[in-house]
Amino acid sequence: MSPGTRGSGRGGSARAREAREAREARAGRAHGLLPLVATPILGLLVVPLLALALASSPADIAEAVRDPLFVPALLLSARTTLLSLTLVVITGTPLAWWLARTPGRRARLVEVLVDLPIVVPPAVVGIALLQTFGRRGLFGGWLEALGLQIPFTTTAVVMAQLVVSAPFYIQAAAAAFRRVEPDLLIVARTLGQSPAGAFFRVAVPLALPGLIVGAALSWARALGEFGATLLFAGNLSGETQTMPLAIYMALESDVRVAVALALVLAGVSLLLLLVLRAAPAMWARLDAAALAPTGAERAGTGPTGESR
Amino acid sequence: MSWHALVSLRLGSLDLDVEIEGGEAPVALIGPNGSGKTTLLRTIAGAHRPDAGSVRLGDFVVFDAEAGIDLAPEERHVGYVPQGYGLFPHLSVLDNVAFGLTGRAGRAAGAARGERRDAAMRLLERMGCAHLAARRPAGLSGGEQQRVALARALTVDPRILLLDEPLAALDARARRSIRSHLAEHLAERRGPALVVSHDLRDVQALGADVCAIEEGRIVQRGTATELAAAPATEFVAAFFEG
Repeated sequence: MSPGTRGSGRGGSARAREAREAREARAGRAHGLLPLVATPILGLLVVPLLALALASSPADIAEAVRDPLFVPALLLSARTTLLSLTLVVITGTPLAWWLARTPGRRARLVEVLVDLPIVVPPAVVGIALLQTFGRRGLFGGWLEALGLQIPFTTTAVVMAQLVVSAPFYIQAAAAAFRRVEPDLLIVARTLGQSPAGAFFRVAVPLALPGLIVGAALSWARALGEFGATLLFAGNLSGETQTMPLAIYMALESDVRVAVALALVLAGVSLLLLLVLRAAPAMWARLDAAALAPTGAERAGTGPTGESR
Repeated sequence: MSWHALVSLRLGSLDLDVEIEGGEAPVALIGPNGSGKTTLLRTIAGAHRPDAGSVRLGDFVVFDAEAGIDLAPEERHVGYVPQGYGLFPHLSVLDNVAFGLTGRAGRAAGAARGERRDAAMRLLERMGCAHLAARRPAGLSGGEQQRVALARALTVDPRILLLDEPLAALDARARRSIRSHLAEHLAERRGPALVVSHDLRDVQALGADVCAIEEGRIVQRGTATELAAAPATEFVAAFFEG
């Protein structure tokens, strides 16, 4: 850490220099304290995951895969999270669009409501869902009259995932839509597009990187969902026992299976994180690559030669 | 072909109440920031719905509060070029121009994708930027972006061109040549245009009638010479002092 590494203040006024020196002094003090504060928390974030990896061997993992808990839980997690993600995207995208495009207090109030599941503990969400759709819940009578049972079914798993994961997508999508310049949409309309045409041909392509990041975050949250699922959907193998619940079950019988299951889940999450981190750069490269060859081809087919 | 707009609109803190008209010559709209110039352009384009008034382009009424007429932007045939030109960053120059031909007009004409592209290419040629067809807007100079945006706006056979500060984003040297190109083009086209400007030289080059707007009201209108000779407000006076 060398003071003045930024070195941009050549020939600045005395006051600017003083301000810079004060800033650097403050930064210096912070740098002194920083490792002291940051190292333990970083360690706490990373070491347990390393311990998890070290606790298992390839043989353990192979055995865990053969465990009767493993395949049903993996398949159920894959099926339910893909379904909840699809539902989140289908219902959350129009809501995010509305939030991004609507000024005023009503939209801000809806925004707060959307954020609720992020701050409400998952166990509370589970109980609340039970109180709504359970036999003695708010809609219990109607559901029973229709012959429908939701709690302790796969539907309940999907609903719990939907509630806890939707805010992550909706927030990210609304932020992405807010970055789309309103003038571009007006231009699209004057060029003959309907509101839906302007949305799909201009707003969605421009917001797409943000939509993908939001969908990935939302998927990660649904994949890890435990508390609300346990309370609202229970823990039935093949029906409501997702990967996190299977880890919990395995812990009671065989720690090695629990560790191996946890590793698989951690691996998927890590992969997701890497994709999220690399996505913006990958996007830019794909975009450039997509344009270059077709661009050349277009220039070739068009009557460009006449113009010059 | 003449046009006429009587617009009364409250939008946030802006209280817009103006009557403005023009013929085949361009009309320059001048005024301080926040006076309602951009809002007026967007309202004529159909992005904002006035509380009262009417908008007529030629003998085509696109808005009339009393008669309950309010055509959607896609039905108005206006060529809107916003500040910064509003090119779609995710599309190539050719696709930007072809975009206007894939909308209602293109579909009505039953043009196939290839034909639309050929038509877009011809327009780009006419604007002298066919060589840019495969490029992305982000890689173009300000002047090139302006020409492409103008070519794109022309794809809808606009009854009026609405240009919001078409020369603001350019450096001084580019500005001179592009100003004369724009003036030539508008003169050649002989169609109505409403051009927002902050620069006296733009107004003079376009040979436009001037309409000065302040705090949502028209404060003066006339030829540039008339306004320069007897400015009605401090802003107008300062504008013509250059």
